Amino acid sequence: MANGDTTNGEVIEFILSGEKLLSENANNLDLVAKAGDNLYRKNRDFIREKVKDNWFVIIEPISGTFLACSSQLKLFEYAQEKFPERLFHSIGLLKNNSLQYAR
Amino acid sequence: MPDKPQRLEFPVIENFSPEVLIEVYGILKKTIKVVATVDTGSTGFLQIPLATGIKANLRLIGTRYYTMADGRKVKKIECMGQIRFAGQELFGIISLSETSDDCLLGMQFLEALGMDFTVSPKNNKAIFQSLSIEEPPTEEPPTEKKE
Repeated sequence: MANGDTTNGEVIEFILSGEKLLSENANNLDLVAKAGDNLYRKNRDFIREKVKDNWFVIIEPISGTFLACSSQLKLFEYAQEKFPERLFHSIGLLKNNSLQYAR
Repeated sequence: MPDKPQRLEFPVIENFSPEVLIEVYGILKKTIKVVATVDTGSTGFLQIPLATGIKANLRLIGTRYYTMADGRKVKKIECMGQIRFAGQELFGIISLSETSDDCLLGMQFLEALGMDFTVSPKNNKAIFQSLSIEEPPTEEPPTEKKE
């Protein structure tokens, strides 16, 4: 983990393995969603090891950067400062997503 | 901004949908009033139609897949925005629907609001009530019978 834990609202980040989105498709919402979802699926077990169920998770699909935080507001403030003008694929609360995939 | 009320009651409309009037706004503070259904089956904060989100100048942040009640996975556009309701201004991620005209308030909204939510079909009411910590009932020591 790059930036400590989220017990005090800090954001953690790491780079996911897998196919990234081409920067020329940065504003294509369909491709942002597909690339982000594919990165999440490929790294799901690793993510669930690193992140607590009640954290919010987003993925920047061009760099493959995974970001997570217990505060949704802090997460997006951090993400938009680090990647201005980029679009993110949101996983939402990890526990909700895990339930959805378990159905 | 008025103080946070302790209790708010709304009528439950004919089809048993608890609906409330909320104000939605983005970074430019352009406020849009919408009637939204409180949907405890929704895990999100707020869903509104795409056109409403554009009118409110919400800030686009990306996408997310949602699983529908019938199992379908649907991609939705997500924006940052705020809701004004019950004397509070609540930040959250607002999803925009390209196919539905429904406005839905989900569990993340209720959690952020910090109020209990009760539906009473019998009384035709949806009730928001400030959380109160109730003392557990103490057991009375058995009284001795005196003859």
